[in-house]
Order: sequence, then structure tokens, then C-alpha cells
Amino acid sequence: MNPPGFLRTAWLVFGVDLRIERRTGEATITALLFAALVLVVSAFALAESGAEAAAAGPAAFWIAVGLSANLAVVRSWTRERDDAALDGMLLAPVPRAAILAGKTASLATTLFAVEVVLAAPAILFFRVPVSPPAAWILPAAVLATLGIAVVGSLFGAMVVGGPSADLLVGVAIYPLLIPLFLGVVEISRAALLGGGWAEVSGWMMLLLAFDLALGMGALWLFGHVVEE
Amino acid sequence: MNDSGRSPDLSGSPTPVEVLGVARLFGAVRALAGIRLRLEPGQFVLLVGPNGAGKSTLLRILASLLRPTAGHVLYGGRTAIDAGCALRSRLAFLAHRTQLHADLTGREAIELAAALRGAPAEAVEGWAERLRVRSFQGRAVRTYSRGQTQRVALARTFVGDPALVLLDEPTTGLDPDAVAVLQDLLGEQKARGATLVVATHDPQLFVRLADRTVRIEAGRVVSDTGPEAGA
Repeated sequence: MNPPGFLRTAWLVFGVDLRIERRTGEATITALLFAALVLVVSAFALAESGAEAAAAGPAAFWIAVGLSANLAVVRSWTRERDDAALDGMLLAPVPRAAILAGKTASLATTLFAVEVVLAAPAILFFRVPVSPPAAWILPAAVLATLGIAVVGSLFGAMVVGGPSADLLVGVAIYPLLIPLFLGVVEISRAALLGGGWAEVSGWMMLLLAFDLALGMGALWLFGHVVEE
Repeated sequence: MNDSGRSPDLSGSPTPVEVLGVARLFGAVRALAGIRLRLEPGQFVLLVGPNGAGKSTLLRILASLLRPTAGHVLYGGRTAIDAGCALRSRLAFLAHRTQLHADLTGREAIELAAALRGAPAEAVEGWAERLRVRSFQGRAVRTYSRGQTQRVALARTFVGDPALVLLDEPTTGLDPDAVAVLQDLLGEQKARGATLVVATHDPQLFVRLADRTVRIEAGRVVSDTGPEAGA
């Protein structure tokens, strides 16, 4: 027997999770519908504010993504807790942190898909100027999505399966994610409204540091939080 | 059985399991209260007792999925944390909950277990054949009867040729033919030197194989005897 290492295990878990998501669509569809609703309501509320709407667009977009992430996290971990499927993976002779890495990658993929679908309506609803945004909006979105996914996955593993999981995931992740949302909203606004790199480089470093710190912390903590 | 259809001999790597004063609380509920046991390598131990006695909790602690509130378990002299992956590579646990993803097919569930244990692809075929899951292995687990699910869960359990096998009510949902297959299978596992701990409400099914019967009531071992006393 030659059990897989960290990367191979993470890849296996990622593959299984995406396969299930492709079959059921439960996390993606739930998150997408909810995010779209938040976006539409926000756009409606800000429709009369003209140029300010474009500035508020990134905030509304990331609020929609952030709130819908709660649903995606709960759906993603509910499938691991149903019939104790997670236990089956925890019993394997693999680094347990790799299971979190695979789940995080899968959740990030789901959230990124939601963001891609929401982007066009957001531009339309908030009358964002159609000139191409600065290229660094993409790495900012990737870093923010990864950060949401890693924090969501860690707390999802902890509380999903117990009582009031939806509430507990939200209560646990949103305070932690405040710096990340501030950063990505500022970067998105600058990218869409013609701001320069100098304006956002500090926020970008914050996102990077946030992902590294929380990513390493989550990988270290995961083995402890899943053992009851 | 392994991928070549033969059972690997495990007798050369004896690892006793020592349960040293293990207690477990769930809030105010005491599930286990100072359990002491020593499982010798290659032993077949039946775990019996009424509902709520603590059998499943003890198995989850032995499987390193649950931490004891007090006391500890040593595997060949090492704790589960120290032994880590080395322990889990030798250990398999069939819980009352099946540990299967409902939206994978049975085949995919066994393949995932094999991949995570580093077992060869041939092992998947062998265990699917042995547990007779091939006729329905292409369907999603959520469409299975309880007995079909249990067969897949058993295949997943044995796919890595574990040396320490923990089974919680392994006959749940199985028809008489499948129970007979399971009995043969456990006999083979014992013959190859695996240590087996089986929690059951129907000890007569395994009494021929068992070396010991441990009876638990209210979280305590109330008797630890040979097979004839455990029925």
C-alpha cells in the first residue's frame, strides 16, 4: 500500500466534491440564486443614485458573494456530515489537512463560478463604465474567494452537522472576513473606476497576508477540530 | 483477500491495543466510565450490550475519531496522535452510519477509499466481486436499499487489507446470503492475523469465530469471557 501524499489527497477530495456538485448543483445553485437576489435588491435600492451606484456596485457584489458563501459552505459540508462521509476520509492514512485543502479548493471553485455569472448583471445593474477594468481585479478576486473558502471550510467542518449550523457558520466567519471584504471592495472599486496600482497595492498585500495566515492556521487546526 | 485474491499474512506485525481507563462524557451524559481492555493481535473480540451501553462510542474512540474525556488508548504502545497515518493505514472502521457520499456511485465510493488508502485498482474489483455489489455499483448510493449500502460500506472497509478491523453492527440490513459472505470474510480476516472487534446485538452469528466476548453495560465492562458465555 502506498497512500497518497498531501497534494494527491487534496486533488482526490477536490475531484470527488466537484463531481458531486456537478451532479447535484446544490451548493452552486443555492448560492447563485441567493447572491442574485441580494444583487437585484441592492441595485433596485441604489437605482436612483446615478454615479454613486457605480461606486457602490463592488460593495453590493461582494456582499452578495459573501452572504451566499454561507449557503455554499453549509451545503458543501452537509454532504460530508450526512452518513458520516467525512469520517470515511478521516480514517484514511493521509494528511488530514489535505482533506480541508481539497474541500477549500472545491468551495472556491463554486464561489468563483457564482462570481463569474454575477459579474455581467452587476455591471449592468450598477451602470459600471464598460472600459476594461485593471488586470489586478482578477488576482484580487481569486485571493478574496480563496480567503472566504478557507475560512468557510474550516468553520463549516466544525459546526455543520450540529444544531443551527447556518447561523453558526455566519456568526463565525463574517467577523473574521471583514478585512478581506474591505480589501476586495476597495480594489474592485479602484479597478472599475480608474484607480491606480498605488491606490490598491496595500489592500492587495493585505489580501495575500490574510490568505496565507488563515490558510496555514486552518490547515494546522483542521485535524484538531474534526476529532470530536 | 487482497488484489491477487489472497489474504496477506499480518502475523509478523503484532500490535496490541490497550484501552486504559477510557471515559467519555457527552455533556452530562456518561457514555463510557473507565473502560480497561487489552486486545491481543489477531484476536476476534465480540462487543455486546444493550442499546446505549457505550459500544459505538468505544469503537469510535478505538478508531481515533473520538477523543476520550479521560484515559487513553495505546496502539503498540503509541497514542493515536503519535501513530497518526501509520495507525490509520492499518485500521478500518465500519460505523453504524455508512461513511459513504450519497451522490457517488457504489463503485466510486470504493474507488475513493482505495485511492485514499493507496490500494491498487484491482482491489476495487476484487472487493466489489466479493461483496456482490457489481450488479448495482453504477447507481448512486442514495438509491440503494440499506442492505446494498451496507455491502458497499463493507467493501470500502476492507479495501486496504487492514490489520485492525472495527465493525459496528456489520449485519445491519444484510440478507442471509450476505451475512454468510460476511461470516466467511471475517473468518479469512482472522486467519490472516487481523485483529477484529465486532459490536453486535446478534453474537450467535459470530460465536464460532470469536475468541472473547466483552459485555458492556452503562459504559462499563461487566464481563470479559470466552465466546460461549457471550451469547
